[in-house]
Amino acid sequence: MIPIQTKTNKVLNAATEKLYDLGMISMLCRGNNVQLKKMVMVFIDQLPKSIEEIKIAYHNREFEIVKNTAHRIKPILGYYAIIKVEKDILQIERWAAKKVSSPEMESKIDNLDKVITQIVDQLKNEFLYK
Amino acid sequence: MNFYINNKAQEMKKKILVVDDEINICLLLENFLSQDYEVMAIHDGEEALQWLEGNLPDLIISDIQMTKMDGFEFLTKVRERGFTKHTPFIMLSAKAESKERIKCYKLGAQDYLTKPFNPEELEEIVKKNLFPIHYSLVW
Repeated sequence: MIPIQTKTNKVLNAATEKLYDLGMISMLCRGNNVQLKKMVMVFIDQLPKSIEEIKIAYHNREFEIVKNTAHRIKPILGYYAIIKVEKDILQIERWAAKKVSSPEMESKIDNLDKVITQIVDQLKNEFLYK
Repeated sequence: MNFYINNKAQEMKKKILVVDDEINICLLLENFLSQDYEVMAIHDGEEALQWLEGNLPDLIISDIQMTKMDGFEFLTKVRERGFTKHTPFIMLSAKAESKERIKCYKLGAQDYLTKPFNPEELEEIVKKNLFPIHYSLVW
């Protein structure tokens, strides 16, 4: 009974774990909540589009687009302190520069997509549905 | 009287041109800098050059990797133009390699900041470039 409960709690924690930190963004908005919300809305609107761009470009073996898009969104992940995919985005950029196509690369792109989707949902919950 | 002073202060705000094709970064810089400066954000080098035909900023902040015209080409063209030959120029990049920095300095950039940058560092670099006399007095 105890191991099952522990396992369930871990699953619950993983689902509710906050995957970002708005400290740096808030500092850059100088604590202005209207500006902060505007920033978050742009993130919610733009980031999934960029991830989709990476997925389509990778599927079409357009590595230059994969590399450039990964490079472009890398600092944004830094500003939002999204540490869960910090190494993945670097690896995607490096492999795309070497025009590497592999199951590992595909898995990193899938993971990036999954994490960004979760973050967008969490941000919507924090900013839109409250 | 206060109205006059406020108006004067508004008039005297330094003008900064921000060039970055990533909308999130443009918005971040705009939010952060607009409290103290007048900020114009443009998403590509070509459009920024057109804007410079009729405007003269006190400082330019530009990304390196942009789709239409990269930051190196933009900086080169800015330096070729008479009016902006000596306008302070800060390069922004997600790349931290010294090779990139050296290239920027050789092309005439004053400073180089790696993204994601520390807001306080950005603030000081902007001040240093906009108010060099104040900075030389501090030192």
